[in-house]
Amino acid sequence: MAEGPRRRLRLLITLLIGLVLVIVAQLVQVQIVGHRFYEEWGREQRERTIVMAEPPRGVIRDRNGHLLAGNAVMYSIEAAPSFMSDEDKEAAAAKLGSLLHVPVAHIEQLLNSRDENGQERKWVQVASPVSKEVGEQVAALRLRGITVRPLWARVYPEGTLASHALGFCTVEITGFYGVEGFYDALLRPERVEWEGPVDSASEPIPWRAAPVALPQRGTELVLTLDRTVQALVEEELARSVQEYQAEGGTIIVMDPRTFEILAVASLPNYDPGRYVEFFDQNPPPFEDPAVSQQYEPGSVFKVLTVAAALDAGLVTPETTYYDQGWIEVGGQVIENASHQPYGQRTVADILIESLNVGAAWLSTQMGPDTFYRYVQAFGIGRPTGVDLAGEVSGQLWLPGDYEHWHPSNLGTNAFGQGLAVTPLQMIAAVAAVANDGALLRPHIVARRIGPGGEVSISQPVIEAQVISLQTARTLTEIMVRVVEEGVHQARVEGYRVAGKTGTAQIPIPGGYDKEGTITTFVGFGPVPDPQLIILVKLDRPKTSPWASETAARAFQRLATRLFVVLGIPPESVPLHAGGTGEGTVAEATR
Amino acid sequence: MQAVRLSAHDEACWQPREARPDLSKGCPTCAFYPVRGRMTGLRAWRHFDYVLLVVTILLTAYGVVMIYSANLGSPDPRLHNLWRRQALIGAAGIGLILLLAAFPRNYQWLGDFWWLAYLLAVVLLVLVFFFGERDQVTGQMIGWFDLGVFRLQPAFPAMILLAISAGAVLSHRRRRRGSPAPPLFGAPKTSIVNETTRRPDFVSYLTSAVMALALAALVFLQPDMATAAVFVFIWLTMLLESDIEVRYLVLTVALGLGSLIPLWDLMAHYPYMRERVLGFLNPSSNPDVKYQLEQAFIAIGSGGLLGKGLGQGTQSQLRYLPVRHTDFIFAVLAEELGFVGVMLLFALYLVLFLRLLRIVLIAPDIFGRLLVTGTLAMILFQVVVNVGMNLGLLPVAGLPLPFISYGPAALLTMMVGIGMAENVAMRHRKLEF
Repeated sequence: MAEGPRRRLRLLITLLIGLVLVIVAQLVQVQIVGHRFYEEWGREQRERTIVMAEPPRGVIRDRNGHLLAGNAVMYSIEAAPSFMSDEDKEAAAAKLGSLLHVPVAHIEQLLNSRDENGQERKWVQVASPVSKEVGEQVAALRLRGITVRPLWARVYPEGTLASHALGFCTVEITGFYGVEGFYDALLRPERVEWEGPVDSASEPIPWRAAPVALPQRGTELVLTLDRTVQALVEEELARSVQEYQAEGGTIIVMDPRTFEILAVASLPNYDPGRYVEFFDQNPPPFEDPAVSQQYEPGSVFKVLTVAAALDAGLVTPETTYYDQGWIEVGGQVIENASHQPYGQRTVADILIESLNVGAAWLSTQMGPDTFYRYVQAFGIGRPTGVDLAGEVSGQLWLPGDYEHWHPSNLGTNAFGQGLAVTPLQMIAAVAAVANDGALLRPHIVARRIGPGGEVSISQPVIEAQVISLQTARTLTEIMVRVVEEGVHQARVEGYRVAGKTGTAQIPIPGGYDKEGTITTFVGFGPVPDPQLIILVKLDRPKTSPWASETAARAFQRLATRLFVVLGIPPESVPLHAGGTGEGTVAEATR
Repeated sequence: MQAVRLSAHDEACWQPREARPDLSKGCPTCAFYPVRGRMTGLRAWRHFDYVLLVVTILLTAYGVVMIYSANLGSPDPRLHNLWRRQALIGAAGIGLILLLAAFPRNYQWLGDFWWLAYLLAVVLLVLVFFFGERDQVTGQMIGWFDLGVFRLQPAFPAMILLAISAGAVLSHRRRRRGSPAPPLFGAPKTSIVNETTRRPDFVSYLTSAVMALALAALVFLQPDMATAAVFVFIWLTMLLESDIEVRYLVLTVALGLGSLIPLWDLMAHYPYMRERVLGFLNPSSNPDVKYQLEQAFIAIGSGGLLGKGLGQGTQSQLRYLPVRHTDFIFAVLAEELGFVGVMLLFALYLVLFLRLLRIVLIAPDIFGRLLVTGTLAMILFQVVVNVGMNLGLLPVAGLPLPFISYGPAALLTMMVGIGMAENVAMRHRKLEF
């Protein structure tokens, strides 16, 4: 062997040993020294929160099973720009642009956008949600880098019908307002998620035992709403608002025997399926005025004042007092609406002729303790507990509230001034009178059907027996006389109905608005066995400031139709005793 | 001028023709058989390197196991059977080793056809430009023939063919036998004028350089920078081993450094090459390279001392690692079998290299020495580059891990190299180490 090659060989081997040492050193560095670090890195990379495919949100139906809120498959169009060549992007932008009706330049800009590190994005959302048809067309194009992911979208087949009662549901499947908001947790499909490993395509790996339970769809809700009644109510509301040139209004229809809400509608309303378009309005029309807006009810409140005085045994309907046209309470002079003295009047006349002086006389006779005890028992000043989102409590100051309550309040409160109620509180309080003195909790969900088909029926909740049965009957008769002798506009042919108007000024800072009133009519019938109670409230009607000319007329038209639609026989049809008393509206509508 | 001390064997076998003893029945001092001589019975098998054979089998088996594990978690069912194919090819390769060792003609016979070998390499590499498969998406060359049974990357046989032809050219001045060699460069010298002239001269140097660089260039144009580098490395190692004068080595290094800049410019035509080099120098510049390296680091690092167990590697089985059964099989091995598994692999390679080195040292003549040196260089370079890449020490290059990575052409090429080394080993008698 030659010397030269041998020396070179030695050199070569030395170099090689050096190289091997470097490699082994790096191996020790990575595999032994950095073991923990890389192990943790790998775990972070593969351990994710894995969410199982979500079943749909619970549907909402009316009392007869008609779908009010359902779910449809829609698509989310997404792109992975970092996996697309420039040609891919160009082709995708051109084709998506024409299918989605989006400017091509807009999509190109989206696909070419960079993240904060200046890298091409790995994921962008091009459009969501898009309809099934468009989504399938996009999927059929098989564009490179474009994925079409199905998702659940909330649909409201009846459009604007019962929008305030239903609320809406966002793309992220979160319900807001109304039933969607109140029952969001119940309607939501069960989300089954766990921490576990995923592969490089983010697909979960069943290495560890997956949760045993599969995700369940959301609970189905059957409302007490009747689609037909609701449609008639909305039609009448729209007509009244237009006819009396009101700014808005609310109508609530309940069954006074169960406090089921048969219809609740307000204007202005919206389409929950296209809620996004209504965010521009100021304010957005999402809150349900029936439970979220409070107002001074005005003379309707006299019903409660008279009820309290009768039930306390202080007076009878025939008890007389002298109306001199004014009365001083707590240093404030209270006058009748007409600014006239009425002379000798009975307690019944206070309701029939809507006398402010008489109402104030009653409340002062009762004294604050008795008066406010009854007012509170009627549910004024606290939420009714209805299952609708966003209910407010109204405003009722009591003698203990030094900052706000003034002795004169005792007088003004008696005829519905100086306090605020929601339309639902008002109708619930009067419904207690119609329901033989028992105040129940108003509700809108009749039954819930769980994912396994288990049904739970909403039971009536009795809040209080506010006044005695006898007082309630007596008061009802007075209210019948209100319609028959006072507000003839509310008379319904063939039925005995009871009711009371309320024309309230609108409080503004420092007094009352000189222009505009809120007119209310609450009526129920048929007496003696009321099956229907209706509240009509119109905001700032221009044709007349008086409830008798606006709300009462709307009540008359609506009640006339609803009695027929709900199959409630008129007075002239003889029925054996208790015949209608046993039935419910639910049976009547089937 | 340094005198070359001739061994007893050289003294006997490299005499001028007229002074040469009768070699028809073999060299009297070594197991060197004459050119057209035949193996004489089982005597030669005493010199067969059984350790080399066993270590080759072990490495191949190790590879089959790793390919099996690397593709376990793959969704593509075609990948699930690759380990079987590798095992079949490996078995065929072992047969080939035995066949080459026992080949009736000794390796010197190959040297006579060095130009044919070289021509075959060139033809294969040129043909792949026209008949090779192309990437279905980009239409780019991927440098292999689809033979139906398996894919043949002509670059791999070309490596062996280079070792044969360059070995013949670099040793021709010492070859004194009946047939003139190399015939393209004039008549063989019939007598040894000066001992020093036995070293490769400038013509040999230049010829071998042109030959190696031409093959490297053809592969580079495929484009495959890493494989092209294998050719250069094989030639450089053989040059070093050929006892060439130092000035040629200096010249080579100077030319090599001088060509770096033009080479960098040339790479502009193949952006991916620059990306790979840049990606190595600054891994965060290319998100794909960065991702691949990160995944390899996580795999190797999380493997720890003992590994996660065969088929249990989270990086491998959950497909975070790219090209698991070829380029990144080392990471799979490191993750699943840990530091201990890697050390076992390195030990096997060490035995392999030491056995090849032994054959280099006991080779009966310079051609045999260069032939085994070329084989050794070929395997060594690929091991170092592949492991270096997996460990983030070298650029991400598409070179397989010899005997371990899946690849019929590569595996058969390595086997042929081992077979030739065995052939060389069997033709010696005396150990001179």
